[in-house]
Amino acid sequence: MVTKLEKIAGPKHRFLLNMGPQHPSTHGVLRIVLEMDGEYAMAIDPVLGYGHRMHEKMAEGRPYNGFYPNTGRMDYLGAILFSHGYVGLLERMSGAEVPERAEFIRVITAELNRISSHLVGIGAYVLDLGAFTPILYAFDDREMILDMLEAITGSRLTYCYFRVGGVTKDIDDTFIRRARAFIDRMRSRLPMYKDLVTDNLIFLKRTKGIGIIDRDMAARYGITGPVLRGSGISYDVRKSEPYSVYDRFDFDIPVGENGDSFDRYVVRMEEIAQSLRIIEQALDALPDGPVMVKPKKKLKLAAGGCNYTVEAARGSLSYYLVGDGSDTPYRLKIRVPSYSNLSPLPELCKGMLLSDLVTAMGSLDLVIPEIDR
Amino acid sequence: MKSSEAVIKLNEAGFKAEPAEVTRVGYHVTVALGADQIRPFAEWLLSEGFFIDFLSAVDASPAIQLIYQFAHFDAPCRIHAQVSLPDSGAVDTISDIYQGADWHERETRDFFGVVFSGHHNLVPLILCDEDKDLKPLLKKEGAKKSLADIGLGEMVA
Repeated sequence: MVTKLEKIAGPKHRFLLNMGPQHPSTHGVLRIVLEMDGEYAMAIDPVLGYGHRMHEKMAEGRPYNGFYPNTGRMDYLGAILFSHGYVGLLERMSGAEVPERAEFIRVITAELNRISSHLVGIGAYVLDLGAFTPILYAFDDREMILDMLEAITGSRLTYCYFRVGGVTKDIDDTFIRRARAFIDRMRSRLPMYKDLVTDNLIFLKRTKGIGIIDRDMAARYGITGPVLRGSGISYDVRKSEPYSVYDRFDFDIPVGENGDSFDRYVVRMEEIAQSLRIIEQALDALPDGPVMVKPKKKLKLAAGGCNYTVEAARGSLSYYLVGDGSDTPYRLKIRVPSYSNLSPLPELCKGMLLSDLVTAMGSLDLVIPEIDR
Repeated sequence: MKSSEAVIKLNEAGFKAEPAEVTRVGYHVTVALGADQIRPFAEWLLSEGFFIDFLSAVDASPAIQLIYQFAHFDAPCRIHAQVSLPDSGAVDTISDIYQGADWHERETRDFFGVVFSGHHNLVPLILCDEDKDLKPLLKKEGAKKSLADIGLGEMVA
């Protein structure tokens, strides 16, 4: 693409622009080096690693259950979903029994966490585009989830609630009552979000047709989650490789039509409604019984590799663990969704206006500490 | 593509594929790959519509094992491939076939020192320039175990 400026001045006038590591629209310490032609980004090079903590190495130096807190510190917005993958992996490898009630509680809390993550994602996205009000509404709704989860897990953000064999604390009638009240409230709020944001003319003009991802690109980069489903591909690990008790619930996978930034936003919005459906069904069918089967004091896993994939708030999350018969992992690989979702950025945004680049990048709903791990 | 179909097609295409017990290991198909087969394997997967899930490595004796995992959007079919790193310390890149492998290969270069020949930009991704030869996930002598001890011995081509 040859811009107007380039026709007049030739390629000499191009300049490098550092976006980040401290930039409001990168939502964390992500740096993007842009080669700018006036207002157009002609070459894009993301620079990662500012928040790198080497979780994979940390895992090798501590017992299996010592790694629970780490899982919640990668994707801080979807901590429960990350724990779900890790305990699922250990349970698959050790063959530990999980009481049915615990599985239901896991699904309820995981879906609540997904909603709270999407609310931040949506609010922050619209904030990137210059609208300040919606994020306040979103945080208002999210606050109810945080209060509920705080009462049973003890934390408000980096939850460490799941254990091999169940969950640490049972949910009580107060929680169930508050959860049902939240479902009603959130359902009544969804039309308000539609009027306020989804149907907003400025929002539509900013997001429609920006950053289109097609099936071929998604496969080449390994894009998953709402970003993928915005492109009309109904791939969701909860359906394709059901884990926990997700196969018992009736829910749909919302998909977009054009694969642009707007569709990715709409998919997140519709996923909130689907998560509410799952929570409602899980509350209705919640079985009685214990929530934890205490395993033997020290967890030791046999030699061999094992993989466990779950649907985190941003896409497919895989833990691949190689055991060696001891009480620490020999190798733990964590495949995080945002990493693969960010990687197409140079191809996706080549030749875009800087303001459109912010639109496209925001629609990927990135969590940088998860990418850097 | 169904996983049983994938096993047949992979074997027809000349790759050593076997069905795996998904409830135990979490993937449907295992493939024992030779280092020279990586590129044809990736081209086959892309033509069949698979997407790249991740690429990483495990340090063991006698050689580092590279792990490739692919899955499919339309059907539950997760393919897990293992490659023994040749003595040269280098394997072919697949980053021109699966562009998503670009970062995974750079990360594997950071953590294990594996060289991906043909990669267009094999510079540090996660680690900083000063630490580019740190190779933090390589095992110290004494801590390194044999493939049989970590249960990955059966999957060597």
